[in-house]
Amino acid sequence: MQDVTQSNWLKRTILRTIAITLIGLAIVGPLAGTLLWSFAEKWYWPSVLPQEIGLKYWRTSLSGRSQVMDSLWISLVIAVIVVVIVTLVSVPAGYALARYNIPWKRILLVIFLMPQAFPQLPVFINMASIFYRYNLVGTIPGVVAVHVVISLVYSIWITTAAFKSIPAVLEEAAINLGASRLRVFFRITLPLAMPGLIASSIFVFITSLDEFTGTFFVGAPFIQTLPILMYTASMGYNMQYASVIAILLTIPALLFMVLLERFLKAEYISGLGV
Amino acid sequence: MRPASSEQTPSVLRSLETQHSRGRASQSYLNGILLVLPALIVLCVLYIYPLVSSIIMSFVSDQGVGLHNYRKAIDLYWVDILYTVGITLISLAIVFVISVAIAGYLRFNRWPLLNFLYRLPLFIPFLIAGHSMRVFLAPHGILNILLTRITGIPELPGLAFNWVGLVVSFVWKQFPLATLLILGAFQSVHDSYIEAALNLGCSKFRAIWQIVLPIARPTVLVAMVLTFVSTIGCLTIPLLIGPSKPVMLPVDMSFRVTYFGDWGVANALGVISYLLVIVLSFYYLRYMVKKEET
Amino acid sequence: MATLKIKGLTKTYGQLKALDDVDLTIEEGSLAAVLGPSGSGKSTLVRAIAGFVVPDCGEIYLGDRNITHERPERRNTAMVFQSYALWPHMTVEQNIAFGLRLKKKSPEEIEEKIKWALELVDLPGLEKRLPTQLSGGQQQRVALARALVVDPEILLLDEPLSNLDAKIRYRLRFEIKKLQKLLNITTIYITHDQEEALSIADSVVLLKDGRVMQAGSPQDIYSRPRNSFVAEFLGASNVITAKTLEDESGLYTLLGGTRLPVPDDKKEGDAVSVIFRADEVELSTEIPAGTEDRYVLRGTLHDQMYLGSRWRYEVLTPEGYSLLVDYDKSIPTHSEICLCISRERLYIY
Repeated sequence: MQDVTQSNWLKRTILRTIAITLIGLAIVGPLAGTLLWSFAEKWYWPSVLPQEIGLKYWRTSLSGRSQVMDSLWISLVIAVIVVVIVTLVSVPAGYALARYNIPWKRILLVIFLMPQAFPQLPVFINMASIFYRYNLVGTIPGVVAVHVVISLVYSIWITTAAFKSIPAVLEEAAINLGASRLRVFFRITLPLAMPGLIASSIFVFITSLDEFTGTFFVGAPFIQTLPILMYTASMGYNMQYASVIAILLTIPALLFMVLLERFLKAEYISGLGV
Repeated sequence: MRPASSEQTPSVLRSLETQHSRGRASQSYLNGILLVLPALIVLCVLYIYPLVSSIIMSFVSDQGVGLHNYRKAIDLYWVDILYTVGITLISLAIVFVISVAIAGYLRFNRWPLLNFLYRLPLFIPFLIAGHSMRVFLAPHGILNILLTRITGIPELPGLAFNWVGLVVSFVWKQFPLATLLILGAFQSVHDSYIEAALNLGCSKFRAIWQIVLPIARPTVLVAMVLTFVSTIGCLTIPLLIGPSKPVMLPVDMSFRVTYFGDWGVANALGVISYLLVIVLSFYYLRYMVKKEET
Repeated sequence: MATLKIKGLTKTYGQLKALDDVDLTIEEGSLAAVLGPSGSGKSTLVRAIAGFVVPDCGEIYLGDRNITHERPERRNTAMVFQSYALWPHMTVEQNIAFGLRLKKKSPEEIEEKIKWALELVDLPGLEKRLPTQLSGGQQQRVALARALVVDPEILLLDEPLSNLDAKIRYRLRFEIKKLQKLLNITTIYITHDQEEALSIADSVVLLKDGRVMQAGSPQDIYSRPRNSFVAEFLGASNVITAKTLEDESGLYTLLGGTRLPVPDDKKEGDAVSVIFRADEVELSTEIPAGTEDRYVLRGTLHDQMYLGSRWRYEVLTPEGYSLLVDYDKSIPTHSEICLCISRERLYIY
């Protein structure tokens, strides 16, 4: 439904250029600022660009002994553990939700949807007080537990969608030829669902890597994940360090966005971004 | 034991058969439950338990069981409650306008650049969005550096640390998801509905407003619910960019716990925030469950 | 009401020519059926008239107005969609009122017009229903009412009946025709059903691959198809391919041993198609006398199909042709029979 005629093509191009410049500035502006700050060695008001640009803060951040690297390691270790646990739990659940007739399915669905439907902060606060009793506050298992519960919900929905998108007849055809249920799952269903499962794992990884609020209550100040470190730096007006960490944390998410655009189906996206 | 007559055999067989198939059905029930069970346990222990505990503990204070925490919470924070609702509603309204405008434009026009650009904040975590906005909107931040150059005014007030900056940050972070969902719904409205309207003399703008938007209403509402819930419950953006008074409820809850160790009032505020979203949440849950069941 | 004139209309999608230099005139107040197989460009044509397709070149005039590049919403055409496109969130009344509201009519006039339109399509009393609460035929009528109520200069019907049961289709076909004559509105009726086109239209336009194959009155196009495509599309199922021969008296071809004239543009050795309809052949068990304007073929009944009012036989001729012939009596299979075709029922290309 496009009605481009020669005469209004020019008008449209001009309008679009103006619009995209404004939209671009609004969307990219804040991110560009963060990027600039990460390279600014000196930046005083009211200069448009930093007076001195260099890699000083990147170098100190990424050198082996820095606090940033320590936090990066903690964050990565936690993220990997979370991915493993969440995948082990959500793949069977996603498959069952997609294929089985489960009693009280409605209640199950409500439970699996609730974390998205209500504010999560009170839950984190109470989790912290419960964990306190079991000496889990300020420990890696405690932080892992918070990350698991946050990402599990997304993961279940993505895997359910992935399994649902595989026509059941493909499984029935294999069963019809005499394959066992287990064999069908591992030889037919799992390979077909793999793109969705990989998407889910990457998404869980990024969610864990970027998670702040839950970690803040359950882990801080003993477990300094990268987001916690960034928050401390930002609140202390350490703009350069905070910006370096912000970019470190953004890169995986942006890579995922490109990946999602190219390889993955739109139906997975609806569970994201909250 | 009665002797088996020839007549009885078929009925015995039949009952065996039904028993067998019932056995298979309950077997599959059992398998389904077993597969879901780990996820269910994790969610019950780590989500439902703290959730229920937050509700119960909101009624418990050092004065015993009762509404003391609520009385204190409302006494201390009634301004913040109104402020939170206000900020959330303003952000929601702006998100609605922007996302319907972008989705409406992209429904009629192909524009890959815009289609790519608008999604960018979707993949930026709240924390980083907050930090970036802090850098961008501060009194001596990048926006003001540019604006003072363009306008020639030497000093401009910063947008950070007041309600405008808070709303701008929320909108910036929240509109992409709403746009994504609404655009998806707009695109699934069949062309012929729109063409029928244009054919009768309707402008595209009006067709979006009167035809496409009403037909896509369920998804638009879901997008608005998700935006509302995640705005009202967001801690990081108000912490990083909000003013120090009044503050959003999550900040109050956080301070109540970290500075005062006062779980009772924090939980009362938590329950109040549940109550603020409860109608929307029920709509969302009902819609999603229905969608999942069909 | 206005005359619609189309000149040299062309639209290509990549390699595909959806419309190829289409010229067309539809007289004021007449109903033109645009007929063609799927992919022939008939939908593109009607969407170009409505303004949803921008042609590569060519012009469209509605009355004196050149509407080729007019925006769809300013054309004052009214279209009835194949899917009806009744807005699901509006009642029947609101659907019909939509176009009137856009024209800023007064509430009294809108109410009056809705009443008029619903009576016109014979649906009074359904004002408050939602489209989903209506049957297919009722939805079709509401779509028609919605289009007619705005007094369009031209009515565009895009396969309006193709989603309906055969029985309702027959009834609605005549109702549409009656309405069109009553309101005297210039109408374009898209269909892939030749019977529908012939029974309803004042003129028929036959499209293939975006080109006009033939345009004319239904009688004209049925009895004088201009080429083999037209003949076959209008139900001439018997196609015999023969060779052009030449002797001292000129070009000819042979059918069952009888000499047939061939078109002037043929050369010796060219293939020639001889086409005729199953129901325009006389079948007899005795050998009739062949005359100058009647041709006789012999054959054997091979198979038969009962059509209700008559039988359709598959006849094999000694030359190896397999032909379909209708006859109102039952004849045993394997009977030897004769086929008699009059000259003007034989199309030779």
